Amino acid sequence: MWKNRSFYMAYLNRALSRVSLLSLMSLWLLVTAAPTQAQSQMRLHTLKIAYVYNFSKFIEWENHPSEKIGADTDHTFQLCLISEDSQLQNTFLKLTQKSTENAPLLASHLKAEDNNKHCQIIYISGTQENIHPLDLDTQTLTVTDQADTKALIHFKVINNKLRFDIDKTRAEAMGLRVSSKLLRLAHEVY
Amino acid sequence: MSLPLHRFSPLLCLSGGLALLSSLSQANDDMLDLSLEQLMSLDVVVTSASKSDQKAIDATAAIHVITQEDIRRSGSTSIAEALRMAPGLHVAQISATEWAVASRGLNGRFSRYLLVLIDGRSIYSSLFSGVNWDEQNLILADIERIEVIRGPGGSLWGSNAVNGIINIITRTPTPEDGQQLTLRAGDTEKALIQGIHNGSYNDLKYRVSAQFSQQEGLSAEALNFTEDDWYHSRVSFAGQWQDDNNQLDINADIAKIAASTAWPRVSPSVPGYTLLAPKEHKDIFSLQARWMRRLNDKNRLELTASADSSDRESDVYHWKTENSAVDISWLQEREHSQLHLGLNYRWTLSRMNPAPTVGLTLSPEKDNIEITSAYGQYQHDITDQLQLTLGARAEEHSETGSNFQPTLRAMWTPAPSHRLWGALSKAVSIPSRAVFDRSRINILTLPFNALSADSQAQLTSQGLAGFPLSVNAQNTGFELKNTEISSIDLGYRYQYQDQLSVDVALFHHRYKHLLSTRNGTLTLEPTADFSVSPPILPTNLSQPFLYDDQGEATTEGMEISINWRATDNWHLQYSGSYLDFDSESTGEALPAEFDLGQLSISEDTPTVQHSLRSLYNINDKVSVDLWLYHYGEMKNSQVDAFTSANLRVEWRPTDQLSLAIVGKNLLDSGRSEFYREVFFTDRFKIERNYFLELQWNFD
Repeated sequence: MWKNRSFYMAYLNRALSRVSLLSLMSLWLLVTAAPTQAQSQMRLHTLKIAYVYNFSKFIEWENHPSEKIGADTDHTFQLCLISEDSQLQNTFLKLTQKSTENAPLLASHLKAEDNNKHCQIIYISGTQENIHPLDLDTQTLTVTDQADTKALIHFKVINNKLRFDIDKTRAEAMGLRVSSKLLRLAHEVY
Repeated sequence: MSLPLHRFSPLLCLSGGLALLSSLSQANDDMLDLSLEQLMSLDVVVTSASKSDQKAIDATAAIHVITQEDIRRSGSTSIAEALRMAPGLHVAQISATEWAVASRGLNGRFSRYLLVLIDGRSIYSSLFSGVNWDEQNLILADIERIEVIRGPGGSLWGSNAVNGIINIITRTPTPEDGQQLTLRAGDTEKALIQGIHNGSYNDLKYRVSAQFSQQEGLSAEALNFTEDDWYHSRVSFAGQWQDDNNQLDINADIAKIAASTAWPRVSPSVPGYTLLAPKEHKDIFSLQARWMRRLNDKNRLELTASADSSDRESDVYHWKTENSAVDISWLQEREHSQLHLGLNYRWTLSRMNPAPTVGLTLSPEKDNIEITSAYGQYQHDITDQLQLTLGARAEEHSETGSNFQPTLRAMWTPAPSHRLWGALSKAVSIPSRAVFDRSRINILTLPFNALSADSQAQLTSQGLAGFPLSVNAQNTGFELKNTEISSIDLGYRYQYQDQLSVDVALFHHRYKHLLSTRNGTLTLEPTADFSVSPPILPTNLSQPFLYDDQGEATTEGMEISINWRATDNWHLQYSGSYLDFDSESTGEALPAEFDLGQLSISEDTPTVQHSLRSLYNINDKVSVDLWLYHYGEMKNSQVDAFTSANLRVEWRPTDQLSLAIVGKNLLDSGRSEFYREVFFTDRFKIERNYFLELQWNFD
């Protein structure tokens, strides 16, 4: 019978020499083919926006929205997006056709430097620094993709499913009431 | 920002592929109407037909997807067992480590017409055909899903994808999943310890999984024989590296198995047979790398290279196979069309050194096979409602020559929730070396006085009285043709939101050149068994039956599967299969006086099968899952019908901890499911059994 143990190496050598020529040709093809702009993550974007919309149903703002800001936004629930991605913006703006239990939704797209104190929820997508309300004591629910910001809700992808963490302590300190159902569905609550 | 590319999936290719390259805008807008719970069940990266995915309904083939959750909640402890959930598949356990799995009929230990893949890598054995399921028993928690496609898939996947394809798709490493420790103890499933570590290193995401298990051997039905416990240890690695336009996936797997599989000891000169149960040590290894590169919005290249080996050593044989393969494909998606072109090269070395006692000879003992192929598939949306797909694969096989496997498929969407599809296909199965090369298998040796009186008288008149008669299967140099299938498939799907889906498939498969036999010449031969002395004298008569390719058969049937979310907490799944097997020619029958009883080299499958699963979440912490399944009788192989059930109760006291108790084969005990079609031994009994499983997830 044959020598048993070194067979992996001997075998790999043989296998590699067999496939190397075609592999090299293929690698050449792969390397020389020019990439273009990355395609959007449309599905993930939409999924996140659908989550953001759902969050509005499970959180109570202690001050009624209408008390917060000027007449033009009375009785609307303000959802804001800060993102440079145009596809994400377009999908987000579709939320304006929806409503919460008490008020119609108004979805708008802001720039990082815009005033955003009228927003009940701000979804910040992509790397965004120096967004004002993150470190101010406003009643704004901040949602981000980034784990290392001060946002109250962070998205993460676990086992190919979208999950989220909630900073309950800070949310309550800011006067937001997070329903127990949302807390139960969260991946981590801290 | 990195861009997810989807992993390889036969379903995707059948459903058009490249789904992710275009925006799934229709499905996406609907998402905004879903509840949070529904959203949480959606896959972020859609690769195939998970229940929530619109693409399942769009496949122009009969497909069924078994998810990780299905596997877990079914109480399955092996891949083969989990496959019982799919309609159209017949899954039968032969012994503790051996299974017969086939799609739409013709099942056997060496199931010839089903192609099984792991992440796209073929695990079909070119030496004996079929799959050694014990070697491929991946750590179940590493499996993302199993895609089962019934019907021919040769136009994309090449030879042996004749009446089905199974693709086992492993999970993408996800550092956020943290670690998992699983402990299991039971009567048949004696012990299992399994650990999974997910992590990342710079841009590399990886998972390392390890498992050790001990399982009880089964007891024979008639003989006083019980297999030894078998031991399985396995370490798997998965790594993924990604940037905007590239994704590299690496998978490696090493396993060691120690088992005592039963084989018959058949000496041509000694009547009867005795059971051998040598200790067998198996070393399994595989490595695969896949690189996907996005060229632009519409084009993608994919390069896959893989190598695997299996080395099985026991007192009665040394069986070794090595495979390596490389595949490059180009996928293009335009607004109304999709194109997929590829080249594939596969090299296989197989070696079988049997001991004389096992009654098998093969010449040459060692040989290699090369297969080179080119394939293409084009899909076009003729109108919003009608889509056509044309595909073909041409193969050059170093032993059997070239073959061509085309398909034409159409999908009609009369309304958004209804689909009607049909397909015409041809596919081939290449005979395995065990029947294509010069070979001999001693099946049984009959004492002279067991032959009919006529035969005895005839042999006596020829001066051949008293010799035992060896019945054996041989190929003495006949070049078998490839088995060919021509198939018509029709299907209908209905989906009502997330609550109800119905999938019905009808098929008509026509087989040509099935493996058959013809009677060889009765000869007087010296025994090959040197334990009998002197070995050079005539010791026995030999009646060979020679492999031939004259078998013809037609199979027709229907499969149905229904998914119903009765409430948020209660989910019902039914699948059923009906198969009508009409064998028009099996070649010459053996002379009746040999009365071989259940001995057979032909395959078998029950006509009717049902599976009903109820998945019920009593609350957030407790779930109760029941699985009832029924297999009809197999007349040819004398296997009785049976109905059985698995029950699983799971309690999750915390988010991290889960405790499950599982009872299997609850309604019957001691049934046997299958006779191995060659190397006949006694059947083994499948017993009622229980186990307890503790799972701990932590960061």
